[in-house]
Amino acid sequence: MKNFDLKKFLADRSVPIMFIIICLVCIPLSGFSTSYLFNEIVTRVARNTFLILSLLIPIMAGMGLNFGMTLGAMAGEIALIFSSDWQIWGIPGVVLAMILSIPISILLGALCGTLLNMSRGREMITSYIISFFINGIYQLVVLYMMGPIIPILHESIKLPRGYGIRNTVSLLNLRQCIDNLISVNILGVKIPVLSFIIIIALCLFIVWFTKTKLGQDMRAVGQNMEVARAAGINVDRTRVLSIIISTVLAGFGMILYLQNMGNIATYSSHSQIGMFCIAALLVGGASVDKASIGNVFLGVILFHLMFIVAPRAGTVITGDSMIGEYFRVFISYGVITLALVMYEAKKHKKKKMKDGGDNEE
Amino acid sequence: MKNKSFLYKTILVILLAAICIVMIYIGRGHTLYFDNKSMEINGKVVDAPYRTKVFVKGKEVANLNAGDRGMSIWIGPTAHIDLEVTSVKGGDKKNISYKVKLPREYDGVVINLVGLMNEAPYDSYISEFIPLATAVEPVEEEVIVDEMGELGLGEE
Amino acid sequence: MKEKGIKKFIHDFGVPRFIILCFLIALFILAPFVGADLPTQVTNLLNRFSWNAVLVLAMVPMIHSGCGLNFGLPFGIIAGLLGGTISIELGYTGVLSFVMAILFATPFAIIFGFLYGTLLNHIKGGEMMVATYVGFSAVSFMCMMWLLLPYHSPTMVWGYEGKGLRTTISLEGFYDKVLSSFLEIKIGNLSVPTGAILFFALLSFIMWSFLKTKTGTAMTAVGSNPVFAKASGINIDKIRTLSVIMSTWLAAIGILIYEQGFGFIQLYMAPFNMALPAVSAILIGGASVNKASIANVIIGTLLFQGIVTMTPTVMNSMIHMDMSEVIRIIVSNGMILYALTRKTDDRRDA
Repeated sequence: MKNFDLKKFLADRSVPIMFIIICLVCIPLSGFSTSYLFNEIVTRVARNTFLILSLLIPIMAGMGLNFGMTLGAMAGEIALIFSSDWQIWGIPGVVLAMILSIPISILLGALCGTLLNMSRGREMITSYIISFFINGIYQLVVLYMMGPIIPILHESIKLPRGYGIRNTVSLLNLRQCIDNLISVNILGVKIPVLSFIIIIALCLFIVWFTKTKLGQDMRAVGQNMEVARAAGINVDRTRVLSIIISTVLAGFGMILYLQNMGNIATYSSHSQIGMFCIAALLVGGASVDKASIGNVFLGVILFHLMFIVAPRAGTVITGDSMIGEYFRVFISYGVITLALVMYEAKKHKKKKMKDGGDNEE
Repeated sequence: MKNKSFLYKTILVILLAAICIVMIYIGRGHTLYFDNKSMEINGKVVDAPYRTKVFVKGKEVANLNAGDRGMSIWIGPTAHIDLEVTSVKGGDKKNISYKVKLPREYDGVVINLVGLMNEAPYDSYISEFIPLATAVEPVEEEVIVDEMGELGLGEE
Repeated sequence: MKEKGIKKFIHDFGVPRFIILCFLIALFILAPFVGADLPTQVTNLLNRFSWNAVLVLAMVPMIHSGCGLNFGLPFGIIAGLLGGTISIELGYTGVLSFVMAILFATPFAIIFGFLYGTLLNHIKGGEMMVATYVGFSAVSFMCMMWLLLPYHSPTMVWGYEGKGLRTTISLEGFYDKVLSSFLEIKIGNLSVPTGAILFFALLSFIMWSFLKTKTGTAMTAVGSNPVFAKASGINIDKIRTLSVIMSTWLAAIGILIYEQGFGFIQLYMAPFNMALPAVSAILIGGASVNKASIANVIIGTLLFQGIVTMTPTVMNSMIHMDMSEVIRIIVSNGMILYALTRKTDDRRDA
């Protein structure tokens, strides 16, 4: 009996365990010092966790992995472009960008949520395509409309041709302003206390949110839409709200992420962010329909540890630096694929059992 | 019930807008340029002191001999600067603190310290810093990204 | 009364599709005014059509069997890339290298297709998302393989290291333009890649007649009415696997045809970008998530490639802004989005 439990325990956590093994193999091979690794991990956890936390609420509402979080990232970038153009520096600049991103995020989130309601049953692929579609709109706005239609004050952030934003927007004057405000140094590891306080505040918010009426509604919708509807919950509205909240949080997350980086790669910062956040969440042992705050933290640590050590370890093993690079990309995609297959297979099986007495296969 | 939630929402929006305005006010960043140069005040030429050290937020940002220019940054509408002035070589050091209102519309503000110290009219010692129009556009600066950006994989 | 007729037509045709058509017609009308040479434009369009049409055709079998849009196209493309590189590695040249490339690609395509099809049978209803990521995983896995596999042909590997394939491999002396130049018609600035178009026509005809056979109709039945299909004793899983194998094989052939027109093999991350244009092309042509015909393929490829080739020239000379890239992104993804959010074709999985 006890043996059986252990097996199930391990099976449920197969992905994190696999990652722990990969990391354990790669860390000694990479030859990085412990303090370097700790520093890197702390920085990356502070930088990425907020973004990953934004994925939790749609999962709770049964809408799967929100590939549309990229929309929030784009809203955050647009807000930062403004705050940088108006020369609002330091923490006020970050706060301003956050507030400016809210209306854009709400708008995009509402659009995304509505479209997802129209494509029930294939939310994920739809949110994935939405992120590409809105990326097109984003480029239209940033590359062509900023300048002639949307006023941009400073020539320095415009392309030399006079309209459109440069490939890079410097955030030098709000670079790491939040990370450095209260930071302590423990054994050579710089810990950005304020960033962690913000992340913990968001965790508390999520815990509190799940206990509110809306949070309970979302959980009900996630478990069974028909039952929720019968119980008088406005299912469509609840689902749209979950996406809006996620988009707004993703916008905040992106702003925190970029203030750490110190500049915006205008046309590429957001493009991969959804994929990496989702991969990190899944590495932490989350699945498409179940994810917790614990998954986020475990995931962000393991995933980024793998990301740091894999290229070097790959070089040591094969003598080719590119192998490790490709390896970590493969692992990121592989993890998502695995999670999706497991989720869909489970769903398919359940459905078959419900249909009853089905005897193909 | 519905009215109440509408009221809350309106208050929230107004509150956020108010925070926005406050942030725009207190967050305006300027680059400050300190000129330790002689200037004409009320028709009289006042010489620059032998050496002036400029402190911003307790940190020394410039150590200026007569005729030098130093720079720093300041976030907010009023800059607090501390000066340590040595009038003549080997002479006594004098510490003075100043609060300088910065014009919102200037990105770069040039402050003539001599004017500031001798209480010249505001407009005479504050001017806008206009960067020299370089003929060639600066080279696109290096983008700092972590792996997430640099892979540049298959995005349509 | 008549207006109602037009409205109905637009509704049936689909609003976005109609807008795209109008846009393209406008581009063609504007082209001569802005000084674009029409024959050159048509040549461009025909060329690009001949490169891409087979990749779009690869969508058809899976849509028919109800597996949805084949976002896993890169999987088949990899089979084609393997075929092409092996053929060159073994030293075949000219037309023979193309034939051998197809021959070598076929077993890979069948094996990949079988595995992929079996996987998709376990996840009915969630094919599209899984397909996307299966494609991505396969591409990134192959990135490592291109470096590690024992290729030695000096035309393909990095010169100074003597191992690891290059990112782009020139096909000169191999199968560069073997189909396009076959029976090529040239009138002034206009040239028609007859061979490539004929090859596409041949494949389309085979596909068309296959869909008329007993297995073909069974495939359509599985896609459109799985309950009925099961009742009439069709082995649904087997038919679906077959459709996936066909899609994968066509994708493999499709990429070889693309390469012969383009003149280069592109490895590593290149296949990543290939699924979405093909998907949106067939949707623009009038297909939906579970319905597609050969006509959809032809119309869709022409419209899509028309926009891709015409916008840069016309836009550039009109407003001196190259917005073509942005327009392409918005049009192609908008079209996919439109198809995904249509309610009509929701429940079809077994």
